Amino acid sequence: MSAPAHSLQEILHRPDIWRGLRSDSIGNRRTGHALLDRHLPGRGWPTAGLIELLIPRPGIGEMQLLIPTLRDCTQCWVAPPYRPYAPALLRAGLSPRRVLIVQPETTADTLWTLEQTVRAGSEDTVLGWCAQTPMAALRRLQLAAESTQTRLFLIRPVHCQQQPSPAPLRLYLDAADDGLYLRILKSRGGRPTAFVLPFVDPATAAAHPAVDTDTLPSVAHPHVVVSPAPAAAAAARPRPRAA
Amino acid sequence: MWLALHLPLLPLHALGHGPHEPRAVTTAIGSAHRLYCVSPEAYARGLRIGMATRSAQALAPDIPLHPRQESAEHTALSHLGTWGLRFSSQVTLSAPATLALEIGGSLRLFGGLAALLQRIQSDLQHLGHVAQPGLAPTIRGAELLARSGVPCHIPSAILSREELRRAIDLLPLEQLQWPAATEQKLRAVGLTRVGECLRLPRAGFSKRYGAAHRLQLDQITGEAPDPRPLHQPPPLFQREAELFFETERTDVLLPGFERLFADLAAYLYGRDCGLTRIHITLHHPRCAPTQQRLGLQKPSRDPAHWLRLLEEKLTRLELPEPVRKIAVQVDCFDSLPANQTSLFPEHNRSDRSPLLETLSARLGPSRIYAVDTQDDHRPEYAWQRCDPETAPQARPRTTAATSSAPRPLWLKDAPEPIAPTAIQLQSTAERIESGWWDGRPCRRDYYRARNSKGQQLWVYREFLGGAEPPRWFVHGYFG
Repeated sequence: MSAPAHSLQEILHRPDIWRGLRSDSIGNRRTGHALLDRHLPGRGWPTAGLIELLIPRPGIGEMQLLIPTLRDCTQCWVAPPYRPYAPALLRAGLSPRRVLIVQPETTADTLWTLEQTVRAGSEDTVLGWCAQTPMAALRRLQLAAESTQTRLFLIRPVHCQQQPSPAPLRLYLDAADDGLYLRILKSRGGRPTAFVLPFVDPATAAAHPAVDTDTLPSVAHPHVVVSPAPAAAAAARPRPRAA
Repeated sequence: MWLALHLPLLPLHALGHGPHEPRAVTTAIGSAHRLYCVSPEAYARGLRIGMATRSAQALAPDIPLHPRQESAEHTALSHLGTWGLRFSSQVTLSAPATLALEIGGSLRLFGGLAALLQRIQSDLQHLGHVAQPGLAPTIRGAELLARSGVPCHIPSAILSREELRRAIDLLPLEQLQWPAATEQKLRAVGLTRVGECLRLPRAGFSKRYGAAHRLQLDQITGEAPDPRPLHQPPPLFQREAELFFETERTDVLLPGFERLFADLAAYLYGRDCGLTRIHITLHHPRCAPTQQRLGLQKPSRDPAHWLRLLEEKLTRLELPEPVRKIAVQVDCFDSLPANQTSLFPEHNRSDRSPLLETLSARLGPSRIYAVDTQDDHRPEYAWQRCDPETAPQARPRTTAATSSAPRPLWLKDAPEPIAPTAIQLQSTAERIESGWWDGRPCRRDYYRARNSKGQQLWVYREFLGGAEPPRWFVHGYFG
């Protein structure tokens, strides 16, 4: 009995083959938190697509996580839970007038607004607060965000954890004693993990940019070794233990 | 070089009918009603121009006949004249259905005669017109060729007066559209073609058939000057379209608006400007008309974008009654900004104004905003709503950015009372005491605090004065 000869390329094109690290889906936009960068594939947020943040209640530090990402980019905040406070935005290094704030009345309008904002392609980052999001809507948002190269952060309550999601990255956040407890629930090309992100004083963080994470070892590694090329082989070596 | 465009179906177009429907327009000549304009499909059924209305009805009873509306034709022609201004600065109209453009000066800009003619034809088709072109060195010559339907081929284009003379030599006399009496007199002496008239002695022709007619012949051949008033665009755009049925469904109205918007865009091209406001009116049979306004962030002349905005608006509109007529009016025009691309790729995100327009069409402009700082020590007055910036621009950091006192990212609209036992203070006090002069005084000590749920709060203790104990409030969250 002879197995049909498939070339490696053919096998890789099969839809049921899962390749851990897709170079096109991971990006190099630093999160601004060295510890988080180390736990994400590509050492930063994905370049585009849906990122879900699940929080038990607003105000636990989720915005401190995002502020470094939001500096120097065009952005839109859809249905924020409270009024964004201009002096604080300015102190965090954002230009308040460039933050487009949309406050729709209903959930349907919120979803519509999110889709329009993402599809327009004029924003680098879109932040949305939306609890009831059907799976189909999430899928549409994810596809739209990928097609227009927009990063969409969807901030949702914790009970949405049970709902399946097409987001390539899902984080669970909670308050910890001296920082933010962060659990990576799902990460395309990475691994689920949990850690506490210590808070940095926003004033000093703006003055001293985050440590360059290039020198830090990456936790992510590819699950499929495509060819015995030296680079890939080197990447596949056992990961060094984080101290 | 003049390009004349004769529009044989203008009477139908002016009534709002496309060129591909079997219809005809009638007019009264003396006491009899006769067909004045026949669409190609009606022509195929045997209807002819000049036929009596009764014979037409007997021949094809199902083809609708409409009475002619000269004022509508005039408006349509004048509108087309404004459209023509995008190709040439010299446009003249001659009633009933011909316009002429001086295109000699536009050839280089549009990439040659062939490209220009093609562009004009496709534009006209888009606007729903059918045109016969005529190209000649004189206005009257071009008009004559256009009316007579001589095919206008590029290789054999008539560019000199000699060629023009040859081309019109064999045209029948009726094409000159002279009064019937004059035509009869000419026929009586055996003249049936334009060329034959041209060859008659000048003095005798003027004496017998009128100096005006001789002058016209000279103007055709270019031997006499032909001064014409140039077309000036009307100062405001105002168009309406009668619906052929009354409807309550707003989606049915969109094709009508699409046509009006195409006309509007053509008008804007002719004037080389854009608009930021469109007034829409929906007329009902009995109640007062419904008025709507489309607002744009930036001057635009993109009809597809207007239509998208209108669709958002119309789907949310409650109509009191069916709609009978739609109208579009624009009274304020702006010059279009030139498009510029940034040197640095990170700023090359497209402009956000179309997004703002789409959002405000559905949600209303009050739900879309940005915030800005305001110079006041009282936290609730230290910010203000403002319009979001449409384009990125560098702005200097103000002193507020460098102050080190903590400010929460979220501010509650109304401070919420809280028991001091429920929170744990995490900073020293920041005293804010201000506003005693305008009746909204503020005497507070602000702290950063944390509650048992892990939320980081911005709380304050208010000093009311007197014997009352200080009260605590939550004013914001450090997100």
